[in-house]
Amino acid sequence: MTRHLRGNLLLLVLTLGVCCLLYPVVMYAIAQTFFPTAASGSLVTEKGADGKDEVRGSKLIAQPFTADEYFWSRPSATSPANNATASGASNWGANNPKLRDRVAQQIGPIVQYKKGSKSAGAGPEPRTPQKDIEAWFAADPTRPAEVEAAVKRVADWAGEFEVAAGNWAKTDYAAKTDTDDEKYGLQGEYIRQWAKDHPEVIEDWKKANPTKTDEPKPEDLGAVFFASFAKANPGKWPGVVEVEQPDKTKVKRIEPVSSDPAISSNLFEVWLRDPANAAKAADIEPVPADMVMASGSGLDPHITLRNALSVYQLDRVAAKRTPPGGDVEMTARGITEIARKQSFTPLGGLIGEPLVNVLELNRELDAKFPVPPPPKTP
Amino acid sequence: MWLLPILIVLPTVLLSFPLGRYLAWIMDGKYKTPAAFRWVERQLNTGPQNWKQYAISMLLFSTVMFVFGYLVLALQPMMPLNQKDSVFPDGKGMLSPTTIFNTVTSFMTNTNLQHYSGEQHLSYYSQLVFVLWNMFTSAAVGFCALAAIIRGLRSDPHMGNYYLDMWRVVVYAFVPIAVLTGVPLMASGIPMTLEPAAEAVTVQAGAMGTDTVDGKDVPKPQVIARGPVAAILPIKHLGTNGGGFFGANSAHPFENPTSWSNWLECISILIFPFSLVVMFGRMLKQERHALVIYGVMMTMFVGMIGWAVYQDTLKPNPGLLAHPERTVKVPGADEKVAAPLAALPVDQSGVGNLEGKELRFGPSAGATFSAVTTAVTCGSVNCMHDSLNPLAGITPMTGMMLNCVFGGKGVGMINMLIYLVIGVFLAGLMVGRTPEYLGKKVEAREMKLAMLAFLIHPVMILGPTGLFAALDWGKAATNNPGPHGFSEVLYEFTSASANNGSGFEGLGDTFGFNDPKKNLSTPAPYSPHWDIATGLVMLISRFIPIIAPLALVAGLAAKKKTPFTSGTMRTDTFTFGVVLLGTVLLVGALCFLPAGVLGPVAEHYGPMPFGR
Repeated sequence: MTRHLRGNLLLLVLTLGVCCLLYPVVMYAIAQTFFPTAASGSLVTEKGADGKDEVRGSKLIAQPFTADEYFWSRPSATSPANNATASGASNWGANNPKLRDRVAQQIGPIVQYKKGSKSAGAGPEPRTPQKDIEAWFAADPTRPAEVEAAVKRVADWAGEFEVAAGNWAKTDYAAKTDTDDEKYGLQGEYIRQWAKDHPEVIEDWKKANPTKTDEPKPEDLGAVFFASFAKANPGKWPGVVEVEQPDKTKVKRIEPVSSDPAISSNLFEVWLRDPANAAKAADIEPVPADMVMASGSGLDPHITLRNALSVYQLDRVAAKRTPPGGDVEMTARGITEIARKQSFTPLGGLIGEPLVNVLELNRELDAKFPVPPPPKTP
Repeated sequence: MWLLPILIVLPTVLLSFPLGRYLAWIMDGKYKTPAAFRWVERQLNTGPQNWKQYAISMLLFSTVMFVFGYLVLALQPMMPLNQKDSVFPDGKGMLSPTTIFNTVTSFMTNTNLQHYSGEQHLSYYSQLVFVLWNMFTSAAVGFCALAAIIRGLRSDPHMGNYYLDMWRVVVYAFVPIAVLTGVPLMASGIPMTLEPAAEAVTVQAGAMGTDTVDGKDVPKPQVIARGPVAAILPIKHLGTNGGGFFGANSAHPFENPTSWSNWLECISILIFPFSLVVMFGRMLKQERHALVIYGVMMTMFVGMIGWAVYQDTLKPNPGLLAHPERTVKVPGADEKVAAPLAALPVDQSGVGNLEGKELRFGPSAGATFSAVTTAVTCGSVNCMHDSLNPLAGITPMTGMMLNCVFGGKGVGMINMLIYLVIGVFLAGLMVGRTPEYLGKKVEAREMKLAMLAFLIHPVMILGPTGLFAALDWGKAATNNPGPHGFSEVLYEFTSASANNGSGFEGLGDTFGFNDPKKNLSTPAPYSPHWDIATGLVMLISRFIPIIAPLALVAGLAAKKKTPFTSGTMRTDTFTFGVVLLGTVLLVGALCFLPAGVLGPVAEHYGPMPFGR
């Protein structure tokens, strides 16, 4: 027994010494001597306003870009996007409706028709799918059949896409904290008010959910609310508008609108599957997969060159970075050249397709094609 | 598509022969001990051990590992190197007790199932002392067990000395090779620092959101977690451990910065399991027999990679495609008509299913890695297995269910030995002769022990899966609907029982810190149930399949060798390879096919998306 005890203790102490002291110290010394930049996380620094070095990010870690003048990173499932202290993925399987909905909601407001296609039209301002979706969504109040179809469309959508309707209700929702009660955004409050004004909403919900006893929350009412709202405002969407009050301050509130990115975002899938729109759907320029599929870490720093140079990225960036009166084509060519120069193909070109690092690309754009200052408003 | 797997497998096969010989040379003690270690080895060598003494030493040291690991993790808030940053201003607190139990068993059994997230829940001290130490030692345990079993098979008078074996494996095999692979990994960009998280001023101002300070909006920085990652990474793969420094494991850019690091990580996962088969043949002086086993394992491995790449990289994510109208009939419920769906305009050509994958490794890298990591029970991931295409998910599950496609360090070869015994038994029955293996008669005692070692695995997978899938414990934890949710439960227990450690990670099994206020996300409702259940499965499925074969070969060693005649069934021929392959596939299929059909296969055929 003492022999076992000695063996165990000695093995514990010796392996601890070798594996947890000697080995990491050797690794640390090698890293700090030969690869100091990599050792501290491949950080990108630049001189800040106070003359000191300021960290602007890591070459290896994606940063969120949402503005039109920047190339966008891949979608990230972390919260918030590209959270580098809580890496992770959506972990949604192919059969998860959330995956399909996320993609449809993301591409609805940005899809374009193929250049020169019949749906885009020949004019200088091509027609956009968003306009078509809104036209399809709208209803002429003088035609009862159209009104009826529009009401049914929203009710069907809200019934099938309950999660999307519930998400709308929970926009800007703040959970309960130690100091504050839970708080709903404009949307949630609007539903509450609506339910008060339209008692049938609660009744409908109770009929659909006979087993539930507690009072419904706004997100539970999402589906019945949209059905009721559509009945009152056929062909309209509850959009957020900013209104100027008599004392010149601006307030946001919800009003029935007929044009809102939320229409193309939420109803894109339904529009797409409507056989009447089949010809238009066929004319849509496909979105590159890496623009809509979330990465494994939520921090993937690259996008494919194909994605960067597609109409969904390059056109938008180039338009924003062209000075007033300048040539957008020229800017686009300049940006393309930078992207191509920065691109690389994995394993020294052996596998896959060219990729670009979004952070490095955007930083170089800021240096070479700065965003022109906005025109002065008189 | 196919170039990457070839570039990974071919060099590993070439390397495995010299390394296998080196390992045999070490384990047979043929080396000349360096002067500095002579005293150490004399002290560690407590004398020759029989199988019982060897098994007891192994269990005793595992107990030491458990106690030590539990102490390190429980005392985390009081230990040094507890990095503080703006997200965790007080450093890392203590994990919940069940999570500590789960984590400690998980690392001590070489599983590395992680019910926590590295960058959120562990301090640098815990990473360096708990994780790193377990990665070296727990990987050596299976290795030593295999060495002891080989000594029994060749009828050595004793099975060697456990403590000396452990020392040999760690110091002469793992540490030097870890330094060798660590240097190129660091060159590719893996951090090695003790500084706390970096804070970056985002290029697009306010892109991470804003904080309100004194009535003004101040843009939030991007807080970038880092740490001594490069120390963990080499042994994480060489020891087929697989526990990530970060939550996203080898998908995280700091754990796997380039396509080259990904390539090297794949090779370092495979190299020891490949070499151990060579070592088996060398130590046993049965190199042709080992080559047959190598071939059988390789056949299954190539099949796994091929299936995954074909289903996941060459096919798009079916969730975005067009689907016809479908009427769903479930007994006892109303008939439901699922609307026909149009394909979403997404161009998936050339990249396959990208959800949960990183671009920098190349298109087929995720699918290849999923086969590599589950064949050899590593459990590290470079893409999220939960988001693999439905049928591609079969590859990682098969790897873990068979658990002998090279398999974990040592234990994979031991599992194959059990299949070998079952194989010769079946073949012996078919020709009507007493089955023999390596000239020793396989009789009732051997078969009982072999069946015990074999049946533990399916029982530990299917039993708890059934229990959890039927109760809220499982239903509330799943992240995906229908059959995919079932697959998540099945995968978790398969991974625990195979001592793999990867997961369909959507499963909600993380509690986090014991003080729930400190957690970034709310604890999953049934996480303690998952912690305890998978912890027990890992323990049982680790030790019984090691100890039963030890007893088995000790029994064989005591038997008289029967003379080799023309009637003896040869174990070094192509025919025998086919018999062995058939045994593995048939016996494996009989155990797991029904569960596989309920999970991935049903998902493939089921309505997609499910539940609308």
